[in-house]
Formats: sequence, C-alpha cells, structure tokens
Amino acid sequence: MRLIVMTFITLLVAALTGFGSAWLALREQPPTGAVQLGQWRAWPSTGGPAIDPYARAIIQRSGALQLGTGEGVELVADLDSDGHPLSGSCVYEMSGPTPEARIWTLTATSTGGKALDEPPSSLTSEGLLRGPGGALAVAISAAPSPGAWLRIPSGGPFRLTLRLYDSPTGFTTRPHVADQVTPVIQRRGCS
Amino acid sequence: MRLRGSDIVISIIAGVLLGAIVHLAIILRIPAVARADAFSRYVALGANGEAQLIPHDGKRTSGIGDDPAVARGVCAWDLHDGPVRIVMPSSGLVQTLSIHDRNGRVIYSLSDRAAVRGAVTLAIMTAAQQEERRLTQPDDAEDDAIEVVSSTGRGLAVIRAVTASPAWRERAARAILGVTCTPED
Repeated sequence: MRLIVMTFITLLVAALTGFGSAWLALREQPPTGAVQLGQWRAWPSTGGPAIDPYARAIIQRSGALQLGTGEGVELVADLDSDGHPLSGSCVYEMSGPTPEARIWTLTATSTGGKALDEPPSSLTSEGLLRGPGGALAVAISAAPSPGAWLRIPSGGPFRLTLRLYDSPTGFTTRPHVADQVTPVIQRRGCS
Repeated sequence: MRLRGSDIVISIIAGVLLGAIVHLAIILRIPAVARADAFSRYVALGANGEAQLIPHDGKRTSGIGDDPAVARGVCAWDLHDGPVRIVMPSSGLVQTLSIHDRNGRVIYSLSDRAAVRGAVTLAIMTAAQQEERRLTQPDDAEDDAIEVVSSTGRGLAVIRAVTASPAWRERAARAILGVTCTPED
C-alpha cells in the first residue's frame, strides 16, 4: 500500500512538473541562449546548425522559418529604456545609432509575436526620413506623427522586432555580440 | 501500514527528478514529432524545380522569421536522386537564401552579396555524394556552386527578398519565382 501511494505521488509530481515546465518553456521565446543588447534581445544560435534545443522545439512546433545567420538577425524588445513594458497608449521615440546592416525593418506585433492588424505595422530603413545630421528618430505611436513613424494600435501591450538583413557577423558570433550598438526606445509620454 | 512524512518528501523529490527527465524528453522529442513544422507544411512546394511564394502567417508563427516587409519563397529539395542545385539570380533587391534541413536547422545561409556572375549557386548534397563528386569531377572543373553538405536527405531552401516599399512587392515576387532548384546531372 505504502509503495503504491508513493509511486502514485512520484508519477503525479513528475507529470505536473515535467509537462508544466515544458509548456512554460515553449509558450513564448526560448528561455535560454538569449543575448541582451540594450533593450533588445537576440538569439544568436537560432540561425545556425547549433540551434538551442528550446528554440528548435518552438520553431518546429509553430512551423516558422527562422532567419539564417548569413541572412540577418532578429532583435526583439518588449520594454522601453526605463524598463516599462511597451504600451499602445504611450508615444515612443526610437533613436540613436543606426544598426549596421544593408537594410533593416522595424515591426510592431503583439507580445506573442502575432500580427496586430492589417496592414501590419512595419517600416524599413530604405527611404526613411531622418533628422538633422542624418540622425535616426522614429516616432512609435497610435496617432500619426510627422517624419518617420511606426503606427501601433492604441492601448494594449506590443512588441518591437528589429530585423537586420545582411548584418555584420558580429551580431551572430558570441564574443562580439555585446559590442554591437542598438537603437534606444524612449517613452515620450502616455495618455 | 501508514504513510510517513518522509515517504511523501521522498516521493516528491523523486517526482521532481523524474519531471526533469520528462521535461528534457519533451523538448528534445518535439522537433521529431511536430506535424505543423515548416518542412511538413511546404514539402510540396518547388516540385517543378522553381521556388514558390509562401504567404505571411502572422497569426501562427509567433513572428519568428516572418517579416511583413519581406517576401518569402520555398523550394523543397530531396537528395535521393543526387545533389540538388539552387540558383538565385540577383535582382537588385536585398535577397537572402537559407538551407533548412529536415529537422529545422539552418545548415547554410547567405545573401546575394555572395553572388558570382550575377547569381548565388549552391549545390546541396549528402556527405557520400560529396565524396563521389570529388572523385568523378575533373580538378579544373569550373563551377561557381558552393557545396552544402546535409545530414538529412530532404529539406527546404528558403528565399527572402526585402521589399523596401509596397511598390516593390511584385518585383520581390518575381525575384523569388526566378529561383530554381533542380537535380544536378
């Protein structure tokens, strides 16, 4: 009797912790292998053969096709420069060093990475209006803004994804990734 | 016989340890058992030797690698009948090419900057096919193809073309449809 009850408890705990933790780990972004660059996070191993097991499980489960190391790199930001979650009821400005790449795109999605609306909120570095001296300044807000502007739905949290195509290899090789400069997302005000 | 407190503690510890094994087993098995993976979804594309466009799938793919400003195309390859040659002509757009194996790993990727004489050419092959190629090909053979060795016999070639503005979408689509993936003779 004692052994049966102990076995039952063991199996129950194993199932709960095993399945529960696996579900949590695969629910969103890979829990391991991330590199923090300012407010941005990247998963450098994802684009190569030595992909992180969590990243591979997430990608295979969702049917996604990840960017290869030689194609570019994907950076994700959920927080502003003060550490607050990005919210559609605020106005942001993305400024600072232009990422080193042949072309880059900036996309706003839900925090789960899903498209927010049609057409998707996205802009590319090509033909971007720049400030004096060529400085990068992108307004990110629900209300239209003069100059470079990324539209986001009002209210609700969102995520920014910066994709650098044909980026320097420094972004994908571990020792150099921390030296890369990334733009800063600053909150300008909230309604 | 009564259950003691220490029995419960031992059971829980054993359960957590077993749970860790279950966790690892799930994470490592998912790629093999996943049915909605990209290979399964796109295996039929490119059967006629030309890449085909795939739609954006922002509702499903958690955004990984799915850029609304980028047109994507896929060509599935099969090394059963010999190496497969992928040719991506330059179009003036920023174009990239990645080779995904059956298990969801990117085994090779590059951009159109690597183009030689107006095209990026890859030859995908197994290790055995590469060996055979070494032996049969003359030393002075002129070939621009980059050899990519795959440990899986099948996989996907993924082509991306960045459309800096919506007006370029048609041009990007044409660039992708111009990519060929044919068996080597």
